[in-house]
Amino acid sequence: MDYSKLLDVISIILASIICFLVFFNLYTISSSQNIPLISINSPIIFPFLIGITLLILLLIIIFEQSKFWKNYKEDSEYRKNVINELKDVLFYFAGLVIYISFLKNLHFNVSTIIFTAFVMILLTRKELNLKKIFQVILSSVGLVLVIDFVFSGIFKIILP
Amino acid sequence: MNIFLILYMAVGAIIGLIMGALPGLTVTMTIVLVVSLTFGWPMIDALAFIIGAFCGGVMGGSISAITLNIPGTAAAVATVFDGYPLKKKGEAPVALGLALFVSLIGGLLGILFLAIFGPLIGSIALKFGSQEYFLICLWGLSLVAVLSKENLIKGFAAACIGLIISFIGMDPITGLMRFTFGSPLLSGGINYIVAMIGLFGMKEVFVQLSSKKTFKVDNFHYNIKDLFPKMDVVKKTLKCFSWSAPIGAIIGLLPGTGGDIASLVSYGVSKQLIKEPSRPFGEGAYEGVAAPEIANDSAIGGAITTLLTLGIPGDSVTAVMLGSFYLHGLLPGPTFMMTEKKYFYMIIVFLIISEFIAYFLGILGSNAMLRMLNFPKWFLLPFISILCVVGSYALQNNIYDVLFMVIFGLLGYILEKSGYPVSPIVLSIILGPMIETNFRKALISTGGMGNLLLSFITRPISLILLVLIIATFITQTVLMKKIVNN
Repeated sequence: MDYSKLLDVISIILASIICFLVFFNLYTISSSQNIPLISINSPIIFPFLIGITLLILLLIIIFEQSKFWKNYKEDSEYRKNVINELKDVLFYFAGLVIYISFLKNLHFNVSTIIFTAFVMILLTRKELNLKKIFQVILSSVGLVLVIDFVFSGIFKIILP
Repeated sequence: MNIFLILYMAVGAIIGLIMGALPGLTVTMTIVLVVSLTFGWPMIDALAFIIGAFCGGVMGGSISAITLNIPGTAAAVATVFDGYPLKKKGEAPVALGLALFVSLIGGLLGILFLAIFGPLIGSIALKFGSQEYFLICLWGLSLVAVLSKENLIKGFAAACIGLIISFIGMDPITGLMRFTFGSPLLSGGINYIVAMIGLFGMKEVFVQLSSKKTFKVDNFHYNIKDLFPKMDVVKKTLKCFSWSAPIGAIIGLLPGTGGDIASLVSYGVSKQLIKEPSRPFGEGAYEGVAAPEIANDSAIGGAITTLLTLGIPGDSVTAVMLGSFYLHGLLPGPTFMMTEKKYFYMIIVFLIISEFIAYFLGILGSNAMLRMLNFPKWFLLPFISILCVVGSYALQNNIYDVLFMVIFGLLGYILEKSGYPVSPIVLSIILGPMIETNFRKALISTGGMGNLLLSFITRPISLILLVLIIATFITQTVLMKKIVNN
């Protein structure tokens, strides 16, 4: 997989947030419920040890990566591509979140047809014409009907 | 055994073959999606379905490796080296037929290994106490972290993140709420199936979305008769069985290793040992197709042995299998051979039948599968997304599980793109409660950290495990580095 400094920085920030939340929560539990951090009977001893391990690993990663970044020069075109890819992913993620929030009100079939048609149009936007739109609508309706039939009809699984 | 079980295995194998053949869709992802179909099924039906998909997925990987020069699964990487040159020489049906046939035989040899060594390892595992359970889980976890990617530190950081996710919710011993931040949504913890679907299924959708790679299979049609093995070709590869099958089974047995490493090692060994191959390696040697295919299928038997007798998944695929076994009330581990012996033999029978079903369906359906390789991305990605949504919802009929699944997908995408493997995260979420419970039990019973560390050395099995952890750690780090460098 191609390396991206931007994503590397994001992952370090994410891991740091996780680390912070771990220690914040452990401190809250320890101070509010008077539970010692380090005691053989403590329910937070193992999370504490894992938190410490993650913190040490994170510091090593930051140290190693900062050394690596000193000599690393990222091509501006490549960086632009990475940002565009990330935008696509975030856009898709946002679409999924909106779709999930609509599942309750519009129910599975309607919201899924809208979501899949929307995604298919986005993925084929460069070759979009009337025939393609028709193909996309047909595919999304067909897809939902098949999923509904297989999951609900055959496997008796409750759909969202 | 009834006809429905065979039907479940056949349907599972068809799904596995198709998903395994499609580049980018891994066997792990296949199992994740297949598991989501089996919520609420009787355990035996679900096992038949999941095992069918597993065997089909491993076998399907070679189809795109030979026809497209893209391995459908990581275990089929080495098949590309000689499979695709054979296709270019106009021998694609011979290569496909050979790959499917030796996969079948390799798979059966791996299952034989499971049948012989499973009870043996199981009887040793019965002597395990909390220390041994803890060490053995730690062994599996650290090995997956070591072998998942070349960056060891990031692998361990990923394992730690997974463990922290597994702590969310109620403490397994005292009932104290941890890492919920007062939210009732988190009080039940994060379900490992939701995390699995997100980290393997939805993550792959995000990865494929950002990938510019497209593939197209030429319009060709194979005569089914040509896909049955030619005996003269099989004869040329017979000697490969003597080392490739044991290599596959033994490498599959080691926690943290799987079919991908087994196939590469087997290919390398064959290259060294065969002085006069049918053609030079890399230019369409039949032995170059047979060796990795035998090894990656016999690794199934080895991996299932460790999974069932020690409760440790060998790789991401068996991690997902472990999750699905838990889901259906089957508890692999040291006591499995004592309490669930009938399921052990049932799994062996399912594996044997599934191997045969996958083989024959692979031959009969190869033309249809090759056409499916042309499925456009604009259709495939929303389809897999919806399967992930339905699968994560079906678990507890909870819409927030779907939301968590999507968040895990994005987390997996970002972490994988920055070099963190996702397999240790999933494995940690599954093994987390077991590791923590056994660690704390051992800590309480020994009376302190110093005594606990001492007990690792004074208890014979613990000591062996500790030595094994250190030894395999060193050897496999070196082995992995060699593979990466090559």
